[in-house]
Amino acid sequence: MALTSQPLQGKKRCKKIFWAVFPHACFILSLVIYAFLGALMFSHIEGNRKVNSSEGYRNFLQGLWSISKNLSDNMTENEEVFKEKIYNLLGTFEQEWFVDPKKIWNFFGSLFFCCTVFTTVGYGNTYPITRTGKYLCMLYALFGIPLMFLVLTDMGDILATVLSKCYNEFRKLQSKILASKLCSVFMCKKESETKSRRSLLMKSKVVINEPWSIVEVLKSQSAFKRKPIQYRNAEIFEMLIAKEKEYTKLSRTKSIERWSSCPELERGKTMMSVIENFDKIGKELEKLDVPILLMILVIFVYISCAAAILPKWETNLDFQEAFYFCFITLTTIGFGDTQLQHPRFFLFLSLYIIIGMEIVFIAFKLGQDRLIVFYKKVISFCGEKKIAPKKIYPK
Amino acid sequence: LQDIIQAYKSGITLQGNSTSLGRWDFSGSFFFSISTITTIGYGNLSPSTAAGRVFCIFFALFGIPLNLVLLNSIGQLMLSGVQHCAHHLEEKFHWQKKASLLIKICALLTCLLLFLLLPPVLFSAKEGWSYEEGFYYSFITLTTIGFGDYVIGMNPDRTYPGWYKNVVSLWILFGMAWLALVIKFCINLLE
Repeated sequence: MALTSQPLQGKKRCKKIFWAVFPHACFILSLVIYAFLGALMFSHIEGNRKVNSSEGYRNFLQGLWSISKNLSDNMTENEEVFKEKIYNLLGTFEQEWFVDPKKIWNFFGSLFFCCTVFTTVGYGNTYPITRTGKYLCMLYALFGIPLMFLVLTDMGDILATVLSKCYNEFRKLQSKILASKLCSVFMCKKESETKSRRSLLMKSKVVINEPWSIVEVLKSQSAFKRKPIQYRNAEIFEMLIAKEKEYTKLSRTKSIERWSSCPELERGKTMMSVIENFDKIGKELEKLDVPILLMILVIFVYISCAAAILPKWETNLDFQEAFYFCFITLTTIGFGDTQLQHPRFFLFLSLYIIIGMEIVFIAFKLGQDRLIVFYKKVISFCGEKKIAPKKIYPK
Repeated sequence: LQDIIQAYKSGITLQGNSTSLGRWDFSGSFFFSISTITTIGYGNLSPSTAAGRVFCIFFALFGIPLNLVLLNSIGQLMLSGVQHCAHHLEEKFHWQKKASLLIKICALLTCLLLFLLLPPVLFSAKEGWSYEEGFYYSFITLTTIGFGDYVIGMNPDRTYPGWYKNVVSLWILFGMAWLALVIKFCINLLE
């Protein structure tokens, strides 16, 4: 019995892992397929654009010809006149006269274009010129942007869990070091152990939590030591309540596990959990509560990594310019002032870009929450100020 | 001539005859800041000095969450306004619950008209674009893609009235808030 149950268990685990990874892989795969389809469509539509010499182009060439014809023999006079006339003429320059659509709208070029559309970066170095191309672009964006948003939120959950686990570990380490310091100072081992265990339990619950009310958020912002005793007691009480909730949750999941002995129920259970997981998309993201300075630090380190390797194949960018370019891309601003020589290689970094956009998205979300807290503080402060003068006047 | 074309291709543009939105005076810089913090990023104007770029990075880092907060509150305001109207009309005319759905659809269509279908008319009048180009510009701006192939106020041969830029900025703000609300609703419906 023991021998046959082991491969079964291995199979079960494989299946579990597969069904856990499957939805996320599904989203990313659908985005990739969408990008490829878009690239095919755009390369067909825009690549086959007939380069008919437009009227503007003909006028431009005519203007150039007439300038060169009317140059007199006097060299110094020529220079001034030429420069002035050329200056005015070049104002009418249009980039689309001198680009070869087949070269720009090949498969990789269109793929790059599609990526700039559904990530909403929108550089503008390539843009659709034909009428069908423009309508198709709008339609493509209409469906591509929500899809991208879905992928971002889905991967954001994973990233949020990873980030908060790392932060948890970091805080545990911090409290351990603190506890060991206290131990050495006060020489009471038992007390500090229970203290550190309690603080560990408390601190490990800090990061992923149910959405807090404003009072709790304000309380958590100030340092733990500076608070007066009654607040600390209240917080310990609340943490204990939270711990109790966690225990009851654990017991509930344990009762579900008992059904796994029956295979049909097991299969149904995995499908139900997979379907349920679709509803939970974005919930982890909402619960994240990491200090915003840490997020900004993470962003800067992340961008610096790319900015260090990008100049290796983009020879006209130094570190500062590559940093600026990566930042403008990851925040989806996308000016388009920095031209890439090899957009193809940038596409290979697409996983990096998605994770980077993820991190920036999380940072902005956290920034939003902090801003709202700040505004509420300011308004409550102003409100208190207004009430206080009324109390001065006696009845 | 080949050298000029090569230079243009590598991104050097002509600092020539430009409108107030194409220079770094107050209007142009204001428009640039708006295009940065809404993450539209047209690119017709972008910082070229190192100090300008560093400042731009920090500006965007603080400005984008601020913008998101603003868009969220405007969206909430619009939503509560619609719900208020629905409530009032229900009370007045004693309609059933289905009327509120009708009112919401009505509000959606009005906003669609106001933010996507009417502005191209304004653009074709002031910029000389066709209606399709104006619609394409509105769509690309409101979804914050912002290619930069069409940008308002960049034509040096045209004079723009004083209220033009302010009205367009207001339109961008409310239009983006409305679009964000619509996308949120769609995602809620899909779940």
